Amino acid sequence: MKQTIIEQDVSQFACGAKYLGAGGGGSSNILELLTKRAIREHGPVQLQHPFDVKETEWIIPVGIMGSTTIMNEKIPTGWELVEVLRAVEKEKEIRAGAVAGIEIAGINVLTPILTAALARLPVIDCDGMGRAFTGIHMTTYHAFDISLAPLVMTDEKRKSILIQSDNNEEAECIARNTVMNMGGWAAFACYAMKTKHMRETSIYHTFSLAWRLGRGVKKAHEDIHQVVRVLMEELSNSVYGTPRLVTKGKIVEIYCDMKEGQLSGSLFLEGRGEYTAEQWEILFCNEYVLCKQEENVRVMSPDLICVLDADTGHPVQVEELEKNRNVWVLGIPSPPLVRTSKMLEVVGPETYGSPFSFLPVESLYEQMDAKRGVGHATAWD
Amino acid sequence: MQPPEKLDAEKKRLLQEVQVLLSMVPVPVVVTDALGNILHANAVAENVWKRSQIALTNKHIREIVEGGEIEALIKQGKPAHKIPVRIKDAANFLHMYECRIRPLFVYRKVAGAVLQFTAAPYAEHKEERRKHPVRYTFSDIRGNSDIIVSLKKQSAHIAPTDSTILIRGESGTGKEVFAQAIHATSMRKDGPFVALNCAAIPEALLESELFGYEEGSFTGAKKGGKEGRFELARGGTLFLDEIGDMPLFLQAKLLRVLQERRIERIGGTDTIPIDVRVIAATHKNLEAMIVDGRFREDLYFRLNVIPLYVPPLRNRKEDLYDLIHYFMKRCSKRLGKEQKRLSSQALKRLYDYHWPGNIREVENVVEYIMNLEIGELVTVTSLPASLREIDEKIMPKLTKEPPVETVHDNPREILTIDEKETELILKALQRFGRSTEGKKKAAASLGISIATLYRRLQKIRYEKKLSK
Repeated sequence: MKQTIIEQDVSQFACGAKYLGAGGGGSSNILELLTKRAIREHGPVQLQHPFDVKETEWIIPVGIMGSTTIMNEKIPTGWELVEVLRAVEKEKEIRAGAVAGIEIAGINVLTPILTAALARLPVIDCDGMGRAFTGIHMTTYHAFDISLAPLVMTDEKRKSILIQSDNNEEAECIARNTVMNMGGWAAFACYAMKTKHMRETSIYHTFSLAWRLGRGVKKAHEDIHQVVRVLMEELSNSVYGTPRLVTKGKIVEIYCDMKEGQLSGSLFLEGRGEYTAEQWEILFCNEYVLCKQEENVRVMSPDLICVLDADTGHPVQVEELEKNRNVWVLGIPSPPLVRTSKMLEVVGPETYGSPFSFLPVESLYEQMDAKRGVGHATAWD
Repeated sequence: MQPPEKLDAEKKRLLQEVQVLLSMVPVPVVVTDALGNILHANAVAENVWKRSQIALTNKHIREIVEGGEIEALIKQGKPAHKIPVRIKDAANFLHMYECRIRPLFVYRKVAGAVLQFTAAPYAEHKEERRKHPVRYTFSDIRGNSDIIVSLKKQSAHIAPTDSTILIRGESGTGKEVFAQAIHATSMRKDGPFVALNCAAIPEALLESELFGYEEGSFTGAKKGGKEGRFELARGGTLFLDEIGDMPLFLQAKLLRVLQERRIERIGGTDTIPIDVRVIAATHKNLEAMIVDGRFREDLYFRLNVIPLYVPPLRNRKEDLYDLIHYFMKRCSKRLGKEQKRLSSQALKRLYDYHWPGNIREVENVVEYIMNLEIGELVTVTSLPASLREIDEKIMPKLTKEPPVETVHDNPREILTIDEKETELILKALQRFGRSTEGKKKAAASLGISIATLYRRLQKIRYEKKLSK
């Protein structure tokens, strides 16, 4: 398992986490450079197993919320993350023994590493989503009764806001409105908890997995077949499970709208090659949430829908969607903790207005295979 | 706009082009319309099925091809491959094929399909592989710890060679899984994987199981004789599990076979050449057995060409979380129950446990939890007794807090020497496990002989029986 994060590992974390983002999470070269510099100046970061930390230690998850596009213009220094960490410590009169991730996607795979490098703390190899979700209350931490508050947010001008609330959803709502008023992005720290609570409520080994995915994908040299092989191998040997190749096709239509600060809509795919004549629709709300072939749902949140560029194997985030792009679509099972009934109340398909109840991608495909009775032609055979 | 004659000529030219292309394909190919009526069959189809083009054309596909949902797939315009089908030729001979279907579309509507028939794997080979299938590959070996990743890499590297492998490791670590994975990656993957557990078969039968026998070689011998495992594994791999339990006389015979690459059946006169790769496995300390004279040193060196050591689970605890959730997912699907969440204390107990049964024990513990825990959160009380700190049935007194000694203390609260001895023995067994190896280690740590330990345990069981 990965135990020490050095400068050269940062790109691999950033790369691997994009595949786990389900279309969300954002990306930022600037954050990557900041993290590399922090490690170069302050030394490597220890990546610790949840059971390598003392039970009495406090762990504080950190991240950045808001628009990565704006963040790339109103450039952070990284110290904003340390400030929010210290502010939570001060508010709770505790001392953080380690930092952890909120989500293992996009920029928020790097924010805990950057914070850890600057604050000389270890990062715990776990996070609270197993992918990207829209709201910071959409975590296993919240589902299993960890309080979001005190939540501290800071922008690049060091303007800080402390949110205290007994209701996590209310706190998230205040935070979401606040980040707009703060100029579009903010560093935040929240869900401060003791090690024993982190052990019970987090998804383990997600940072290690992101690193392995990134390392494997980089070796694939933009060959989509090799990229898919890497994803299959690494995800099968993790808490996620074996991905399914859903379809290969061309984006023929995109409907997109900004609702309450979230990029929502749907894209339409026409199948190509052995998927010719198939019509697909993928709904998204900052992340891909539902994938269906005509009226048959094939993958639904919280399972991950990964859209790959057919030419390079790079993951296509929601804000990068464009017509006439050839893509492959994978359905990845979500970690078991994310599929519990408490977590499904927060991240299930009903949350996004879908009439469907959650069914795992494995079950949906078993039903389909049972009806057809024959093996479906898969892409890399 | 082209004149009709020119269009007609173009159409004819295209049709001939397609016919020529199809005739150059070395396997039978058939073209149908959207309803499944055969429009064209290539020359190979005519030759192999001994039916002329006229006989094939305009017949429905179901009249020629048996098996699979061919007709439905053609109508739906669905591509598919590796569909097992049978075709009876004009001489009533049955041909086994794997069919591949590619639909044809005109103006986005299904217009027909092209069916390609490739020969199914040789029936005999398939039959052998069906009898001796391999269930595991390297992708079934779970874990991302450095030690297991390194072992998988090493195993994959030596898999394509034909060298003999000796796999060492505790019980339940997955030695056979590794053996199967190596076979599945080797040059012999199309051959059978034959396993023999040397500890499971009575000594008297082991020789006949391994080398086979001729008819009449002993009372009860089957008519026609019987092939031994060496012969059954022809072209494939022979896995000798628990090689440390093989009796000495058989070790000598095995050594000769490995050197000469020939066997003789019991009661036979012919020597039979063998074509197998041998993988052996044991959990025993062969080096100590050599010193004791219980294992042949020459056989050890013949087997130990490439040694692989499968680490115990306690040496790769970082894989425990993934393993628990893997088994939990499998179990929840089988039992139709929701997966459980583990409390911090339960997780800690699982992480602190020494896992003498390794992966097998993890699977059992998970199944126990899934069956017995009604709620969604697994606590320490939901764990099997072996994982709880103290077995409450045997030592109820030890579940209470140790008393603080004061003048008011009841002298009966202080343990007797026998009770203290029992407590220490049970704690040692808890720590090292109740297997033979565990008891040896427990005795060593307590500073008593193994015989003394057994006597004390018998006494504890006797006293427990009396107290009921």
